[in-house]
Amino acid sequence: MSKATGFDDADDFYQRLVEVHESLGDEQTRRFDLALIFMLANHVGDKATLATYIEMAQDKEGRQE
Amino acid sequence: MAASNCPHWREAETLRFKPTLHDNGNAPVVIIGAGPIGLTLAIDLAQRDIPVVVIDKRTCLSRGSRAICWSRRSLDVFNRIGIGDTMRAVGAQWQVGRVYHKENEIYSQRLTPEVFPENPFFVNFQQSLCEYLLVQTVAKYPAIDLRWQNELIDIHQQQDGALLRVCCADGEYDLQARYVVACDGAKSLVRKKFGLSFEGKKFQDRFLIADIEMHGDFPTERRFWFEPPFHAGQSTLLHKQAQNIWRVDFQLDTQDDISAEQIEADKDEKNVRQRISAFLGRDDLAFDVVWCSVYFFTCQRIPKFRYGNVFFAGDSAHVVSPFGARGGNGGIEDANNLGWKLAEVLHNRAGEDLLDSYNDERVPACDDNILNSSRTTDFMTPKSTASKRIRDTVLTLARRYDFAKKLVNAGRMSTAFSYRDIGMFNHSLSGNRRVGVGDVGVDVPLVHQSDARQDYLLRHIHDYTLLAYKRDVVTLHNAPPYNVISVGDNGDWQDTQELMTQYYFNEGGGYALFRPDQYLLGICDDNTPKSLITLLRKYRKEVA
Repeated sequence: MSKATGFDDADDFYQRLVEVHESLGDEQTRRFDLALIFMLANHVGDKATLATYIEMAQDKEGRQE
Repeated sequence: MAASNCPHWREAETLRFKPTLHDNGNAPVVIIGAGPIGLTLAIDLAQRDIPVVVIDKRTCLSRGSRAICWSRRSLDVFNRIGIGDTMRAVGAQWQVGRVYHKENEIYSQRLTPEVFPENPFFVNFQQSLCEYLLVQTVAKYPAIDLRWQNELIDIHQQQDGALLRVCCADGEYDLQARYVVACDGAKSLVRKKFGLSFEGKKFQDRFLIADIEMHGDFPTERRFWFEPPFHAGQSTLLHKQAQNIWRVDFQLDTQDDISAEQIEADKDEKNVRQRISAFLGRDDLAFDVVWCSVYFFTCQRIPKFRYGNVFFAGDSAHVVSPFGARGGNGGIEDANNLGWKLAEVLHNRAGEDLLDSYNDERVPACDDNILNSSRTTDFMTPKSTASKRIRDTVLTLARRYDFAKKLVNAGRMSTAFSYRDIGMFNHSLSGNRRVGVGDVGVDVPLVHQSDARQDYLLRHIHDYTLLAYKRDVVTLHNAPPYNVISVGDNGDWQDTQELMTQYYFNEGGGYALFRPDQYLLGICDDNTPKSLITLLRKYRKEVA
């Protein structure tokens, strides 16, 4: 899953994400991120896949930096 | 052999051209500005038998490297005007881009496609040397009248042309042109005289660009650092050029109002040397700073590239941030798009409306360059805490997961723009293979049927060209003139690597029609090229 290169247009997604964040305050930004996560997670659906992503997204080495 | 045509850059930069004196007259085309774009266009027009006057207020070539990365597309154009061999022999050819975050390499990409075209992905070759080769080539064409130290002071649009007022060493004179092309750079006087202003974004982020001379043993790759341990954690780019010159590009800080004193301090040699020493991190490596400049990211263009009889090409029409090499290469493609169209109209082979397609095709191409450059700018220099958090998350993820590498944006390098469905390409003769109508021709190595000499497809395309693959070359009644190349067992050339079927045709063969600028105008698998010739007749009125 982590190797998957699923984006058709990664730059377009990045640009949209930044634009939304720049238009929102800090608290609204967090809510927006969570809303987007719930929608994408619903799109993925599969329980095991979601559990794997939750594991992978935690930057365990990064925390020690 | 080709390398011997190129002097040392120091020699090129000390050249002084003789000023040209007072000279009334008129010309079908007058080009303002003898930079890479103006001279490329002048040579292209001369090759198409159009006399041209080029005026430039300077008496010497560009100082410093300025544009350095020439794309495969530009090299295809330089091949056609005869300087590609020298640029490949002397310049630094590269195919790999490498990206670092902090101490780690996170990404390296080989940017060569699967085909084997004559030109590499990029050749780095400083602008002053490029201009030198172009000036040498200009001298071979009597149709080009290149006037140094002739400065445009005024320009007026007329019904059937434009009138220019020019100032030179012994006074002022009038110059009458049918068409004028403004290749006079980002500070274009023609643009000011027409009251056109750049629209788009100007960023506050400041960059220091320096050329250094050193005998470094670094690889010939594009290397980019995000948050490096040197240079206070700000982005840095390293490129190799010709003749032991290296380009370093340092991001400086972002401030709202930057003073002239600050910019002078940025350029102070002691400060520049200090930054470079910290970057190189090696005491054993001697280097000289030969040129430096401070610039701001800008992504802007004028509304249209054609105003009556006056055209804008290169930086006079558009400016973009340099990461991605979309400035100089965008300008060369402007020249390549415009030259043959002016020639068609001036030779009475096409109507005036053909010239509108320059604007219709190059404006979207420019917008694509601006979009890509703006996105790179936003990634490299996040504008808020939130966008910096997004950027840093992507960089951290990219170290661990391949998918995130696609999101890392250290510059999206210039490639040929596709004009699918716009300008002259809005029709249905589009084929079903990888190269579609509106795409630039993919170069294919060819071997001659009788003497086995090697060549390349794109070397044969400088006029409208019909490619017959596994098809006979047939002569059609009432057809306009066009060039023909035949490939296949019964043709003149063999496609030994079988790329024709990968890129252009089905196994059974067919015909393809290219424009003089090497873009695919139409393709079919019929047994005669009739439909393509009908298409050609729409644009080229003359009958052979």
